[in-house]
Amino acid sequence: MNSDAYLDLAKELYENNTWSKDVFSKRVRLYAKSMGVEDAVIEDFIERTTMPKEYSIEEKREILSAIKLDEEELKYGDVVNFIDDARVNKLFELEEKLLGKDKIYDYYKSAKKSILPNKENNNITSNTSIDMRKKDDNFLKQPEPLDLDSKKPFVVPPRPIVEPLDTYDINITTGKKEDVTGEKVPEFKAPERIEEDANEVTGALSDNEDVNEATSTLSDEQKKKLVVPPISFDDMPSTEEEYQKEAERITKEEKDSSVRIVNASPERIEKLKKGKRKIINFFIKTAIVIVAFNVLGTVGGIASVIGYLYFASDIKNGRFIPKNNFQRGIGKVVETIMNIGVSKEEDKEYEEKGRTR
Amino acid sequence: MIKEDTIIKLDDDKEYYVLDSIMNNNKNFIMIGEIDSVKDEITQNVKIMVYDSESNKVRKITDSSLLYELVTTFASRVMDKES
Repeated sequence: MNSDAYLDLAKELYENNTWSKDVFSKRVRLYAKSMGVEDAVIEDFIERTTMPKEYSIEEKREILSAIKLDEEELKYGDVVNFIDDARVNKLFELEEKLLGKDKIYDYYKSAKKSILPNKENNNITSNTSIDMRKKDDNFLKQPEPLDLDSKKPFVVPPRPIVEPLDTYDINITTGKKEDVTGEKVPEFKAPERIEEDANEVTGALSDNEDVNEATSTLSDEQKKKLVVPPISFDDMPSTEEEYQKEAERITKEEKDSSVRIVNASPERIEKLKKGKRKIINFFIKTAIVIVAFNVLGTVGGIASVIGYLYFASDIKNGRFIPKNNFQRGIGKVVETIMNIGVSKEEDKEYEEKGRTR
Repeated sequence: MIKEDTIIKLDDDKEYYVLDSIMNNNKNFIMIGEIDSVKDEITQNVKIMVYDSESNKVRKITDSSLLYELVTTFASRVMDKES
């Protein structure tokens, strides 16, 4: 792109305080063509945005307004590519004086859409920061990525609404929620100690200073309960793929099978019994996540009371050490669930003191 | 009722270790883990099944709702034992 020609043209536009068809056409042809825009597209744009007479500033504004496109039609990347050029910024400064700040941005959005019909034609590149970003921060601003490693104080989120589980009849043969056989599946009730434990359990992943400040008024026994050692997550799947594989295995249908009791020696039973706890832990922790998600959905699933209690128990006992973002994500959810059953007074205390969990 | 810490053999000719067993409403639900015949140790292939004493057969529980109830029940039992 011939920047001198372009800037001279812009300067002429500013100094003359006018915008004839010829000047406008030259300017657009120079600028757009340098970016590889097809001639036909350029001519179409010029034809649509110019008239056979000279226009006043107000009339030009009307023309610009008429070709203004809906802001939503313009992608963020297109705008940035178009205006991310130091030379264009100089032009902005000049044209602001001519058109006014309220119109110049609209104009560039319109011009961009009209003369650059697709992104492939836009070859502008520049490392220079641009002033236009400041003009519409909300439009250009990108959401910040989640920082799961953040050590910022954990802010107690709003208490999730967990609907009570339905009481239903399940035909064990079909697995359907219908009373076909007349036999009701026993109603399993959550242990009553849930809320009691929720009150006791507090999370790890906290800043020591915050904890010290928050616990300064507590008794030694209460402080002991609040100190949460690192937690192990080793006996759980660590990736979503592993969870998926386990979910397929758990929910896979199998034929009924007859049962034969094996006469095993006490020594063999003892040997097998040694690995029992590890296997049960793996299965229960994994299955709780899987079936709770299946039954109650993402939020309600993980919020299932016993599932919460089981994880919370691990957190409380220092067996929960998340090693990656996926595991940290689960930990965060569990921490959130920990707030269930915490009194409103305690919620207020957490918020007021910025207490971490 | 099939008791906990028992070894059973199913139609797939594999041995399973009964990790836990509960009775509820006259039904026997068991959590079993497949035994690796070579290493003679419990594998992570764990299933929850219901045992019908009349037919002497087990049926795998795959319904999510029921499975959820059973898993959480087994979980609470584990925690009770550990506490």
